Amino acid sequence: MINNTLERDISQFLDTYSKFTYKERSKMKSSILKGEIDICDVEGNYWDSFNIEIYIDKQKYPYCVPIIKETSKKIKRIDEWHISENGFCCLEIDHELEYMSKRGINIVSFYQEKIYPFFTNTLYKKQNGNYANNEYKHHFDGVIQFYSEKLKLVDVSLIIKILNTVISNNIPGRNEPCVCGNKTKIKKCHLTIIDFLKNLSKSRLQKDLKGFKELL
Amino acid sequence: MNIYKDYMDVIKEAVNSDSSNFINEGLGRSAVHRSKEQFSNIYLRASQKDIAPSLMNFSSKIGTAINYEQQLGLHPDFGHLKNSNSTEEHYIASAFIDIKGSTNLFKKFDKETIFLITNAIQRAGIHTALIFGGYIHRLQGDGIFVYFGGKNISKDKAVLQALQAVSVYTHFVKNDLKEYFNSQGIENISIRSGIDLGYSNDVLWGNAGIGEISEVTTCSLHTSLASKMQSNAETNGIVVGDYIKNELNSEGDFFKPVCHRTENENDRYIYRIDDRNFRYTQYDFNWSQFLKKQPFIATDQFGNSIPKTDNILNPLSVASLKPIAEVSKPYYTYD
Repeated sequence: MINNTLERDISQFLDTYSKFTYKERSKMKSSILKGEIDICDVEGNYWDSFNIEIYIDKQKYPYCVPIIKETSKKIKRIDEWHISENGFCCLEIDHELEYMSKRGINIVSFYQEKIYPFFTNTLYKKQNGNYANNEYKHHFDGVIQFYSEKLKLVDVSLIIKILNTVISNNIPGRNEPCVCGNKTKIKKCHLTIIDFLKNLSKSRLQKDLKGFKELL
Repeated sequence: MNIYKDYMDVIKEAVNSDSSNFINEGLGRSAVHRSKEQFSNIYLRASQKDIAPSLMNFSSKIGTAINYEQQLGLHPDFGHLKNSNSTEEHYIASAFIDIKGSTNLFKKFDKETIFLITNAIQRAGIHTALIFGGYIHRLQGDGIFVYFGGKNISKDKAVLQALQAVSVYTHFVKNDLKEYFNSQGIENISIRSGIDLGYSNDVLWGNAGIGEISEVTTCSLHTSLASKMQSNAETNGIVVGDYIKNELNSEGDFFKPVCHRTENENDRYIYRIDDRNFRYTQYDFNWSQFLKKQPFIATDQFGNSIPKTDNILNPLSVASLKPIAEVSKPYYTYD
């Protein structure tokens, strides 16, 4: 293993979650953490387990998004359960995951903050009929939802305006009026989310922009 | 561990009814004591023979038949040696478990409270040993001396069960018990254990003592070493002998020679006979990592060990899943 950060974090992961094993797969791009994720509630009760595989890009780590595959087939392979036919799980909207990867992840934190809640939520839905909080709509509808919620805007033309601002890097000064048309200073309006979007790849932003333009 | 809830409830009730709760400040001594009836009620629960429901839910996951009909000093497989002149060679795993620091309880509680507390702790230890197939050979103050193994059980299974039992109990004392006592201003309650295996040619079973002042016991270097290793264990630690290490068939390295901790090479061997070139290594056993590997233990979101139980008596509530689940907001993008 050449990636020292990966080596350190994998060691911490295996100490914490001892039922997982690590396969480096020398000829492959990704290594795999393979094991059981045990779902326990906040009262310290055990509920159920899922067998999962966590694919980690060995070269890019920590600047990558681990891919999660459920192998015990305890989740119906239909999009309603946010899982592909092959068992790959959609933990979160791609934009949030890409943002995390740009900042660098830690596999232990990723497990605790993204993987574990996803499977707990799946179990919750199995018991309760729906997810505990919410879910994104599928495909581009989910992207629309993401921008609407993040920007607190429903007007597609305003979302396009903000996307254009970010793509062209033509962002007003902190004390200037916000690009959304609100007379409030941008620092008190959309600057935080614009800073978030600046971390995403141009290709993603352009693809989103194209999608929004098609809505007009 | 929720499996010890019933035992902890008894301890909490004993503490809540301690005379220190009724101190008359003017006299500096308790003016009111718990009633005899109140004491009897708690004592009855603290000394119940049957395994408490919370632990019973867990024991069904272990699947070992529980033998309540044990008598101290009379291992059922060697009972025929009682008051006889016969002896027998047979392997045995010996475990010495000792609670440390319980004298501190006298600083805070009255003797009745301490009696109830120590009974509940000891009962939790006995029951833990029983669900893992252990045989309680002797009670020594706060300590328990347990044998694992017998005529119908393999050595490696006996060793596995000894390690499982002592690890689960250590987890209880180190976490549940310690946390509660700390909240009561009692510190330094801990547990130390030693476990060793003696093979048949090293263990002689026979009757020791006279008449009814006797027990069927083992004469074995490795029973003696288990006791010695217990005193070498660190706080909340388990020290085991080389033969235990050899018999454990499990992935993972849970053993480090004690000298690595003490940084004193003299501590590597617990026993040596130089002219026979016999050197016997003692190891710190990483019970916490070992527990996480056990099929009856789940690992929660943050890596804590959680026993798997049947929840027939206490149905689970999805409301307890919600705080973890609601952090997730899944998306679907696959075509």
